[in-house]
Amino acid sequence: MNRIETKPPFIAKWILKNLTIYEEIFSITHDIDEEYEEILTKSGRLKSWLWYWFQTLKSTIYYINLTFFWSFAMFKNYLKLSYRSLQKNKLFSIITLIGFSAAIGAAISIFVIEDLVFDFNKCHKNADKIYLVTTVLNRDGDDEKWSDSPIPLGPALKADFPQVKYMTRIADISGVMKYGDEILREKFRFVDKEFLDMFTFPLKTGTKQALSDKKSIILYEDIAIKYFGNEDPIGKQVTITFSNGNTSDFTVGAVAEKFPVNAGFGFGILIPYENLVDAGTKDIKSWKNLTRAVFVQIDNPDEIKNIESRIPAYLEIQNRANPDWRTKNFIFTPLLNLTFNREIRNSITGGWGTASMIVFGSIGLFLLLLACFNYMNIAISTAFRRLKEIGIRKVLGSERKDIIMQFLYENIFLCFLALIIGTILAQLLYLPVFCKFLEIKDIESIFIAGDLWIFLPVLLFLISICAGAYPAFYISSFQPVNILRGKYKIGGRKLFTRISIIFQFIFTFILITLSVVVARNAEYQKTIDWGYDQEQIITVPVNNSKYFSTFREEIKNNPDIISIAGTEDHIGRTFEIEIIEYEGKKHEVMKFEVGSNYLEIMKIRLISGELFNPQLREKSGRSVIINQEFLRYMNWENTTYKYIEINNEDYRVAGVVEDFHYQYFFEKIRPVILRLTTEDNYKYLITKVKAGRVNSTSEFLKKTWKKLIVNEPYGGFFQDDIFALNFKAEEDVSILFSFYALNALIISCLGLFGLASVNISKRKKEIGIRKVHGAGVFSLLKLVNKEFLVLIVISSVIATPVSYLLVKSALEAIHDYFIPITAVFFIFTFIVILVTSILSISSLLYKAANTNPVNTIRNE
Amino acid sequence: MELTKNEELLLLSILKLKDRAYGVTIRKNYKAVTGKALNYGSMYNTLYLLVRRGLAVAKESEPESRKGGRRKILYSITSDGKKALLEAQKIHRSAWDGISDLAIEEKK
Repeated sequence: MNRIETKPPFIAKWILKNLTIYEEIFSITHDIDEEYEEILTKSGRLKSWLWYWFQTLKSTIYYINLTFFWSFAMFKNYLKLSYRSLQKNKLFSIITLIGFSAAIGAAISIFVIEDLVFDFNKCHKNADKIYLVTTVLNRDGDDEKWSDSPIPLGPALKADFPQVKYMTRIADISGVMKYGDEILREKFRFVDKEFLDMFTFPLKTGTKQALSDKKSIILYEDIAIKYFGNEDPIGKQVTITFSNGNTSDFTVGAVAEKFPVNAGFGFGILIPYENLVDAGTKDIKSWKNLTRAVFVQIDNPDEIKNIESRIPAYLEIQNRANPDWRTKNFIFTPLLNLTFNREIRNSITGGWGTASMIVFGSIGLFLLLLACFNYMNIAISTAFRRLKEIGIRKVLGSERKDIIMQFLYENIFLCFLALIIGTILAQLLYLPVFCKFLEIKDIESIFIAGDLWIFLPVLLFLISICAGAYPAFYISSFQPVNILRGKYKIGGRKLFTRISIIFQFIFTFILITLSVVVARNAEYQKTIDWGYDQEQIITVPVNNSKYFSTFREEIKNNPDIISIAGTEDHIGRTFEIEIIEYEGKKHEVMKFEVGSNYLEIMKIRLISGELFNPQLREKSGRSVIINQEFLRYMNWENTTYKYIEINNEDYRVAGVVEDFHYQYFFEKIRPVILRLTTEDNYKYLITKVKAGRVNSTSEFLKKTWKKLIVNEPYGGFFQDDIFALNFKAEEDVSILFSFYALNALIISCLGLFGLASVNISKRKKEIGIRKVHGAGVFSLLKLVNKEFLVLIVISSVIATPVSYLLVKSALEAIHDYFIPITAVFFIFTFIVILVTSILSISSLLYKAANTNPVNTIRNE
Repeated sequence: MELTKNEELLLLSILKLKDRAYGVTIRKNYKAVTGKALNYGSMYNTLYLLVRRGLAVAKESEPESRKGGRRKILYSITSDGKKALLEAQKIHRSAWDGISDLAIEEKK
């Protein structure tokens, strides 16, 4: 007989030995080896080898199946145990459950929103191939990026580079749209015909070819309903009057469906770009004229370099045509990078701050951590109640592993319940509140975030492990002998508990201070001096200067109207950015073209010099008025004999006025010049109205307007309302922060409550004995509260400087004008925390102190 | 105590093989009786259950005398196991009672 290799395949053998329990219990390899040898001698090597592998695999699969079956059985067992133990400690279960649910609810909503923001603009099919042509300017040494670029640049790129598959320009101009009796002011978005090829907004009816026809438009669903109601808008004729007075008819070519939630920008009415000529831009071939944005689609990203290398040719044309807008470069910014880009000015989409996303996210994370600490504290402090259970389990043969698993399962069970409650809370409470604050309107359900199904299990896993691991390991480490001997002191880990309480209260302190300061700041913003008298002013936009005189003639005899003025630019609405020259140097200023008695009617305060003289323009010199900031910026002592140059014409600086807020207080006041304009440029009619007659006069103005001017909607507003939206936003922010702070406060106090109740139940006897010896409720209160009060004081001391820095930098990041942060805020926060914690502890103690000592002392 | 078909067959094998009952022989016997091979995994799981339920016991044998001889895990039936088998037999009998061979034979 030939000697043949008799050894069985060693990998298979290894699998059998190590991956299953068969070897341990049955020494399976011996049996298989025996039969293997038999087959080997009978049928040869290959067959025996195959047989061996077959047996191995079959057995392993069988084993795995069985293991699953048993772990499921164990799981059921653990579930039952968890349920029982949660029921036994109802109070603690509820405390931890509330804490977890609140934190999870917040975390889910934050995740949903952030997930959405990260997905902004991804709704478009070729989103990753679309680029914004960004203009880089260099003024005063710093690079500035602008979304605006020259109108002819887009078509030039498209014509010169075959790699540019699609191109669209975007410009926004307002005007009036009329259909039947409906006359409303609308914003028109001028786009090239490839707009919908690049940005795949879904259409409800009609086709995207509508944009190829110069006289057809595409409406957003809401706009279509506003004008046409239930009628089918397709093919209907509307009349559009642009702000320069040009009127023409358009046919509705398509209606766009509700935008996807993650659309970074949308539109009301799309209108073919060629119409821009009618709308006021006389020369769309001139490189001097800019458009809001130019997007290109380039399928192969490698081509960008080739295109960028040929950009200098365009720069030359551009800089020759428009020396004031000296361009350094045109670069291509990917559409998907715009979301977090705050550098690009006038950007059409995005502008979400990475920092605020991080702050937003970390608050959610901290709330979760708070809840986890809560659980750990309570689990560890209540462990003494379960010492006997653990001791007996161990004696009966439970391994440490099993006890760890049991505690982990208990926590997973709890977290799972919290996850369900948290999801409901997120949907009903957190998401609406967050969306309101962040001004995201369309999130109706948390389930629009596709990644939620990954997030939820991961969240469950992480918090279960995070909160459960330490208590599980700690509790399972008790030795049965020592437990039964009574060697373990009831009390848990003092240091750990203390540190985590301090952590909780530091975080709570920070959030409360933040919310108080933000709330007070929102109030403070309303008291900031606007720099002029905003009361009793009603402004009516006229747009078409010929309406101005008609309207003024009609209303000037109303006795309630004190005075009337006209203006081209208006505080809180419009101004222009102008480049002026002084002694050969160029400066950027904000320019207001105003009517002759505009400054008087707005009560802008003159500091030196004189206001405009109505006859001045016709007389010899031209003059401007500047604000204080201008004076500071130029380092001028006074304005005597100061001349500045605007468009190569000299202007005398006639006077200086006090700084006024022409934009919301987020924006710093910059150098301003005011220049006199003529009546045919007037865009606004300003009326000063008698106090107490404001509302009736507003009605009168509206009625008169409707009677007089048929083709234009009435757009009058109160001057003191112009910041209403901003005030509202500030209030929303402060509500959101209060909401956060309240959450944290509740979670922390719950934790404290839980610990205190453990503490008190441990000291029941002591309290009883003290009472017997005559201790009053007050001295008992002091006894139990002292420890916690020390912890709260310590955390407040740590938290004060931290929150001062945080609050200050947060306010500075948003506001240029904000409330001074004084010690009052911190004292207030301290008192709030102190009072709520004392209340939550004392309610317990009160009960303990009032029970009859007989019951507590003789309970064994 | 109820037995599944597999358990019953394995117990019968152990009973039949007496002190020669170990993995390889049990498996062969099973195959000889049913004509079907049982893979080791499922056989051991069933044996494991039988041992746990106290219907059979596993015992390590003395090492074999030949060179490289090894210890085997030998199985034997307990009195509980025997009772269970008897019960199973009773169930079979009463279930089959009154059914003649003719009744289920296919007509030719």
